[in-house]
Amino acid sequence: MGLLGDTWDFYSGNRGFVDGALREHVDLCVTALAMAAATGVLLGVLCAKIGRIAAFAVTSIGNLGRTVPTFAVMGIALTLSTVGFWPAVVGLYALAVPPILLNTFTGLTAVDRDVVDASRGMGFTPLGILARVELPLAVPLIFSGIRTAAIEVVATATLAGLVGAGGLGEVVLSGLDTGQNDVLLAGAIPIAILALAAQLLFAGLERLATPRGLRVTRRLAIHEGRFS
Amino acid sequence: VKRRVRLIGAGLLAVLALVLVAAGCGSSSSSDSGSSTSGGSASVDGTSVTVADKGFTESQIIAQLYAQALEGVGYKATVKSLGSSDIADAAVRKGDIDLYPEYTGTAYNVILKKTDVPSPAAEYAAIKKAYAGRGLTTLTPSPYSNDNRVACTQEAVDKYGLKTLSDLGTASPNLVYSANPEHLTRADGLPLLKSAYGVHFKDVKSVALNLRYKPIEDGQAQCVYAFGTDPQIAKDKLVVLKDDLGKFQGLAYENFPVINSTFFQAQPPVFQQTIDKVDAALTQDAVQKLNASVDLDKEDPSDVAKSFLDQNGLG
Repeated sequence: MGLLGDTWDFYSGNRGFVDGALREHVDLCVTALAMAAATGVLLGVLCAKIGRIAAFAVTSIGNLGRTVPTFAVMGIALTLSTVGFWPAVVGLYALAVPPILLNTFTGLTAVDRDVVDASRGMGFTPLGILARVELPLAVPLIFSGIRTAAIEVVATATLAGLVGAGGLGEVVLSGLDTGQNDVLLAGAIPIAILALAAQLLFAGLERLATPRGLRVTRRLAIHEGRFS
Repeated sequence: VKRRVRLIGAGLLAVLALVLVAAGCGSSSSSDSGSSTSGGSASVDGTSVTVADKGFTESQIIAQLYAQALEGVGYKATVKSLGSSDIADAAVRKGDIDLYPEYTGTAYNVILKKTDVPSPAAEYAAIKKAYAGRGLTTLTPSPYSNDNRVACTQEAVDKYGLKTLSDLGTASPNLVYSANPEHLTRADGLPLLKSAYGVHFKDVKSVALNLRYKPIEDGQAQCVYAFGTDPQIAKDKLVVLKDDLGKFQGLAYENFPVINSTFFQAQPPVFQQTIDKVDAALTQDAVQKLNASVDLDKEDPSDVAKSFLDQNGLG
């Protein structure tokens, strides 16, 4: 109770600092995530259509990419430019692409082949099948990839405070370094709330993006589908 | 299938063994250079001593100086790297390590949790007394002090007529500042600059401790939170502003050895003599150069320490 009270006191006395950091944090996350969603979905679709070897290569590289520390990516970006917004975005982007790419790829390859055959039989073109059958069926997995990426990005954007890009990391790290737990929480609580908000937002978007008529089919496809 | 399982098991064991070996090598490195000249007293011959550093350049150099100077008089020294003052303090009290270099300001403020700002002499006297009660022996601090400064580019200094921190207060709305996150909310950091000197920077770049000078070098910031022995002050031709009110420079951050008392009492006088000689040689200028050799010229801390001891006749 005392700690939460102290946290509120710190926040009230340093509103400009914390609110500014929050805005920077959201800017960083939205930019990195939008770029990663665009690239991840596009690459995922391409890979799913190219074939098995490409699939193996992409999933391997994707999984390998997840093991590279984000701070290392930011460090490399720093040597190419100066401190600030973009090195942090590059690091977060590299973090966010693999889960989106992998989920898009898995979502598309997991679509029941019978459904695809049926669509073809009904006269859909290959592009039509992708846009109107496969992608809608893959939406739940694609969005869960974006959701995972979003939560990781929101939490990891803390590192931006070390490369001059600001964000709530400034507050968290400052509290951590000085052992002031009220300062630490004044940064950590908004990050937790942001992560929750991202979780809810993408769960909602997923519902909206899944066509109503497909919700039943989707469930069946996932239950009976071949996860190759 | 069984064979495959066994193969995987063997593979995992091999990886585990490799990791353990690597960890073992990484955590402690024996510094065995310079022991050939061991003409010291026979009573210390081969006594082992474990020195710790706190994981950053200046601390690593000084730990190496202590270790190699002690080897010069016949000790068998090992250097360990620990993460922070709290960890090093716990380790030296427990006897896991025998000594480590600490700053008077950190001991006073972080370890002893005192918030006032006494004179450097009173600061060390208080530390010596409090540490004795904690099973620790301290020796005379070095002449240099790695205390708080603000340094600005020559260009900004000329443009805004900056001489003192109060001048900085007037000019700060036009200036961008570079500092590590810790400085932003630490009571003796930016909050003090705001309240005592009226400093309100246009923008503050929060960067990792060792990246503080990058915004300056890239032209993104004009002023930086500096330590007295930062080698970049000289390299980037920065001007250190005078603390006209005497509030910011605050505590002295002189280097002194923290030694486990039980260990210290078992040593002959040559131990203290050796450590005292090293600390006496650590002037502001000398430490700035030592840091420059490691941070800017990318030399190894143990090599830098060795040549410093040789040059000063301490090897």
